[in-house]
Amino acid sequence: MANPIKLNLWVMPNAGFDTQRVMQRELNLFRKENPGYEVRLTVHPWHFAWDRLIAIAKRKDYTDPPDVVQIGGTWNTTLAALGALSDITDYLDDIERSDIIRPVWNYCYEPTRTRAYSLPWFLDARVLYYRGDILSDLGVDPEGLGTWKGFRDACERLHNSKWGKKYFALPLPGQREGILIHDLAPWVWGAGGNFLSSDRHFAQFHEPSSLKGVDFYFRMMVDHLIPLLGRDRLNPGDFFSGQFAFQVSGVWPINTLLNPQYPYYRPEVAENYGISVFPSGPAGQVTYLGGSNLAIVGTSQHPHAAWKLIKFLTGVESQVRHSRQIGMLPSRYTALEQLLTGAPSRVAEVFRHSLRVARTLPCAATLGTIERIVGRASQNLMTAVRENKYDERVLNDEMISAGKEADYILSLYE
Amino acid sequence: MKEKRALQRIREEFQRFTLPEPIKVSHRWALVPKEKNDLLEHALLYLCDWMKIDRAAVFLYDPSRESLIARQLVDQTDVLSGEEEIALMANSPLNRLLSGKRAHLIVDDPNFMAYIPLRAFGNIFGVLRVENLRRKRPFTEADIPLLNDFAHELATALRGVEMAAIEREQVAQMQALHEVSNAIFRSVRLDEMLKSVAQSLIQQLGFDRVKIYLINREGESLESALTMDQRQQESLEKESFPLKRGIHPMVDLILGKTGDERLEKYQRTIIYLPLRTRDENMGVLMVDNLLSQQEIPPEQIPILTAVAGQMGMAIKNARLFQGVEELSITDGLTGLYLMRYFKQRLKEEFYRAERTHGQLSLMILDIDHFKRFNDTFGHPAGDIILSTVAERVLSNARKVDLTARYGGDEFVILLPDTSAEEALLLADRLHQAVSSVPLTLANNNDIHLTVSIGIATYPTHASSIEELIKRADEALYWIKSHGRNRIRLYSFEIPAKN
Repeated sequence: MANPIKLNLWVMPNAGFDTQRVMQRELNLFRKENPGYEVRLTVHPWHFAWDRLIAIAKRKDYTDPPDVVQIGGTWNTTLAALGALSDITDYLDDIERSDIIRPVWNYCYEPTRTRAYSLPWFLDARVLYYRGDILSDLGVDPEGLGTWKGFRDACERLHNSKWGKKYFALPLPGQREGILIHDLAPWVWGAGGNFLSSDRHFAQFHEPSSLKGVDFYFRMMVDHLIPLLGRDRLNPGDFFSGQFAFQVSGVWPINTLLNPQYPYYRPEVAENYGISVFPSGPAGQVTYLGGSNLAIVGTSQHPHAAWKLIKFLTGVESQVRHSRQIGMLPSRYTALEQLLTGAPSRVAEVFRHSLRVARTLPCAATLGTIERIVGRASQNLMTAVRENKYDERVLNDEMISAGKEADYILSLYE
Repeated sequence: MKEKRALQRIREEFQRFTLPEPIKVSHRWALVPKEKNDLLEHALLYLCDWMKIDRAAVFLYDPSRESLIARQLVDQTDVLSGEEEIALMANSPLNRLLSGKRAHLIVDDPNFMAYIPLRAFGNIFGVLRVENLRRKRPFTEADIPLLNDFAHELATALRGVEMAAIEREQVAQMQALHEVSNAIFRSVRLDEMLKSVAQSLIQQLGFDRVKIYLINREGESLESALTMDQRQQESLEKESFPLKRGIHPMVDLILGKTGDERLEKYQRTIIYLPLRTRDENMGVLMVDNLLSQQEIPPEQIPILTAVAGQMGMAIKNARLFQGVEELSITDGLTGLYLMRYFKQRLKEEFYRAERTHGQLSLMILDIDHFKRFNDTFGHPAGDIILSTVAERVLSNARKVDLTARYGGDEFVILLPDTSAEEALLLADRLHQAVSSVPLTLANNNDIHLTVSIGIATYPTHASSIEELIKRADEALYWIKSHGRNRIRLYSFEIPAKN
């Protein structure tokens, strides 16, 4: 028998410490179907994976480089521009393209949409979690959460009621990282705004409609509906730890934080939670779509074998099994339907709808730097809120300055 | 005694990590794996097996985040680069451990964990965490001496890896400077030199992109001369900035204005370096890591500064060379190439066509009745006619075509990679361009210029350079003997010219 083809696969800890076990199950099935292949799996945290992929692209002599890698969907364009990934356009004829969830294709191609460098593996769309018991006591109909106004009214009612002494309305997305571009995205898009012009030459997040979305979000902080600190001046926790009535998140808490087998599971949250589509803004309903792709590394000596592995892992059967284990959504309509068939009807309905109105961040090679600029502007606005200085002028000045900075960066690359 | 033996074992284990080709440095701790991750992986796997520990992890201290970040995590026999970050709160037990106020930290049931500081040569690297969650075996004071010894040895080895990495880096930087300097002087031709420098900067220092802007000869604008990315692909997009303040931070930098907020904010990811000689601004070298978002290491700045210094002078020399070369290969009146240079290029293109089985066409263009114009309006008018025709031909020929003055009132045009049909189309364009607009001479005499063009193509009409020229000349001669103002492609019916 000929020597087996050895492939190196790098993934992120998608199932935490269980990642090795979850992935090995898939890889065993792959090996069974393809006896001439060996796959060595390495799990890298997100920030290590980025640094190492860059190192491989730049040094080319990295010991034992991967053949197939998991990448964040928004990394695709940048890594392709750096020559870190192989062009997989020709391989795409080998799959049912129309079965891939449509908007997520944006994370596969370079900006001119002629060449593809990765294939979606799993994804996640932002929805609104709420505490049904609290809303019911407040007399708030969850249907009303479907609009910005209805959502803000519900937050205010909570804040001004007896529940407001025990629960906060909406938590910050993360205490340590601050507010990131994808946290702001659904608010900006919902107001009719955008981050970049369609030719990617100019920033648009400082234009009036975008500012309307940013302002709506920060006003919730000003009015204490999004607390910056807990009552004890420490991190106030989140919805899933039982401190909040609402939270914007993806699908993963359903299988983890809300699962009775999870060590930090809170029964009062898990038994009373409800979910709703992301509230609709003046420009309509839209939510953020994120996800992870699989790509062939530019230095791979076995691109055909690597594609075979990608095809297997993004195939319907593997996607259903894997998505169940890691609590994310598959990237294929067929797999999604199989997965949602077993889910509670409300969950299925909300995620189906959310995927229909989901949008992705723009494909720009400099997106990482643009994300930092927006993140820094958000940080400065949070400081202004903390110091009671936030107003329309501060918002305008901060975002216009960030917009000019982004224009400068875009002028250098896009 | 037992402890001594254990310590000996630990030392032996670390010695085992000796590289096949040890780096020749004086520190014995450099005799460890090249990469920090390899060291940690081996060390933790060994520890789990030796002390029968469920899980071990190394957290390295990151002062910029004031936190401990899990660098490597081993679960018995599985290696996982952990994704865990522990924020160091003031007065927290871990903070006290790092500051030396505590020697170790045992976290009792339900965690069955112990934290040991990684300290060597007075430096703190982070902590070692060991866990016995599955076995539910708590760590006791009795475990601590062995763990301390292990942690000390590991920290010392980590220090060794870091020292070796610093030395490697220094050698690499010297090598990079040497390579890039060589690249600068590899060619006296400007475009070749710029390309070679950009390639070398990307290969040696790993930038995402290198851009070189040059001030144009008139000194009016800064123009992009070369853009090369990490894949060593060149961008064809051209940029031009007028040399006026406030147009672009890079222009301001050349004009002596410093302190631009954008340049300062991105000074670790985008670097602009003026390219200067002692008394002249030549342009700007720009390197960036905007895509990879990796900071340009401060050690690379002196290299870049040295390279930019050398480049300024090299660009000046290359331009002087270019000027001299142009003077020696072009005709002073028409600006067209002289025949000596043309023949050299014709040879190159002919051999290329032969090698690649391609086609090559050649045109000879003659100004009709030039002698009559010269005799009627004088030699100065003849010169104007020659330079006008040359200008009209040059502006209508393709960039790849090479036009030379063949002698007197004849021009020769080399058309690489061009079939006879394509050559006919181009000849028609040139014929039109010359004859469509009358030329007004100094005494207000309008003259109507026409030309005759003979064409031959390799390999259709000729099998050698001499034959190609001869066939085109014969085609032209045929036109002249049949009334002029025409285009004629050579055919074998044309009689040979005596």
